[in-house]
Amino acid sequence: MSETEIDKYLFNEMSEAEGEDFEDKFADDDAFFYEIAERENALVDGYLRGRLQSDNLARFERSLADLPARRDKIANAKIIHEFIADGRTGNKTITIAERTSLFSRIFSFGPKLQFASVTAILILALASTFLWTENRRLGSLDQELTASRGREADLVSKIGDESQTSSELTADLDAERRRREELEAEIARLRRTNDHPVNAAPQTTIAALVLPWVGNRGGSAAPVRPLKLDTGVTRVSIVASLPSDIATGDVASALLNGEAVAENVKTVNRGGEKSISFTVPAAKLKPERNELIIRDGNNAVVVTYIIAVTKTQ
Amino acid sequence: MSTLTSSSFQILLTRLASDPAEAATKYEALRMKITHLHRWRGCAESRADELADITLDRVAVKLAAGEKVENLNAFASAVARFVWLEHSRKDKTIDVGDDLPDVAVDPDLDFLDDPDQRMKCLRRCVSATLTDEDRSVVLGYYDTDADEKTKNSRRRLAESLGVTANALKVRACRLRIRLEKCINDCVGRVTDPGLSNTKQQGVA
Repeated sequence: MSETEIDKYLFNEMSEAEGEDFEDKFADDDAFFYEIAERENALVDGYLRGRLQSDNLARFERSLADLPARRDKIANAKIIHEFIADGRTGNKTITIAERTSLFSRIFSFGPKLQFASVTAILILALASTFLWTENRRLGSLDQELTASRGREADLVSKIGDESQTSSELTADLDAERRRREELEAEIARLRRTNDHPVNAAPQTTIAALVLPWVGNRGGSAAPVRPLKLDTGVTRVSIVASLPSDIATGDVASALLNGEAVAENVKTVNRGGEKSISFTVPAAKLKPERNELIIRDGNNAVVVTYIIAVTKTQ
Repeated sequence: MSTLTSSSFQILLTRLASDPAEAATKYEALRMKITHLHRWRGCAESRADELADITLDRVAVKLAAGEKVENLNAFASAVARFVWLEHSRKDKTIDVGDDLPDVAVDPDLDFLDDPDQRMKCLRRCVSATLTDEDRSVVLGYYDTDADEKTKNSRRRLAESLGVTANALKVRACRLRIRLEKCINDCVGRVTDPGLSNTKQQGVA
């Protein structure tokens, strides 16, 4: 028998003849009867869970008017669903009532179990307190550790800065030391120098000879004061005055003992007197008598000087 | 009409099965079917058992009177229809419920009785009439949270019990019928208040 036929019977939609035939069949067939009964369960459950299709829903609700027992069945199904839902939840969680019942059962097992339970609870409480305290202490130590790490980082940074400063100071110190050593050496050298007589004359290396114009043009050589050359004098600076009426040119040349010692030296006019300056090696001056001839720019002899030289040892 | 006697009842049992135990089982099965027939015909829950007993008594009397019956179950079904017809004609307002609307739309189920009392009855009946395994079968089979899940969970339940799906369906249905009968016996007869003399069971 199809589900459609079963629904037709359960919704009270069969004719009398159809219904009688249907009932005779399920009365004689246990399997068929349970098929029908289970179909009714499914319709009722579907109705309560809102899963009936609109057509079946209307037929189902219409059948309730004729079948009062079905209304009891709906009421039963409703609490069975609640019971199943409670059972499903009960498998996962413990209700407050069940907890209360658990405590009641614990305390109904006599003084030994009560004592053991109280002891266990106290131990649990102490353990919890200890763990809580340790946890707080751990938190405090953790904070201290963090602060300490911060300070360590600062100090490392400062040490880095100080190291750099120290390196710079070391370099400065080394430079100062070198400078001090130089100064000490200089001072030592100066002290060594100061060990000589303070008033000793400095070592003279050049001598000066001024030759004034005193004679006439074309006359003999002008008398010159003798030149004293000390030991160590290597050069002699000569300033030779010239006659103011030199005919041509502003340059002159000089011959010492026949050797040219100055050529085309520019003449200097100072206060109406002309002169030329030049330097000759001291070695070119002979002891006692030397002849110095000055020629003008036209190579004409302007004046001749006789220089007496005395060399000391 | 003849009344039921012990001999006529014995004749009925013998006709159902020669073994007394098997006969008793078949008698209870036939009674359950007759009860449902009356409900599906429109009998109130509170009267279904009574009419089933009347039906079977008449069947026994008929058998004792020498009525030739080829198919006892079909014969009982026919008698049940007569009993229902008689009953509905005699007290139509009670069983059909003239005070009920022609079309019941979205019925308020809470008016039927006290849901808390019915739940207490259910819990008591689960403890009293179901074994742990029966309870697991009912909880597992009718936990119809979702259609697809239902199919799978029922298949797994049948596998765990080592039975076929059809055998599981029959067993679950039989347990539900037993459970609902226990609940109906437990709660007050609210759908048929005219039957104040109907047996009621209180709930602790």
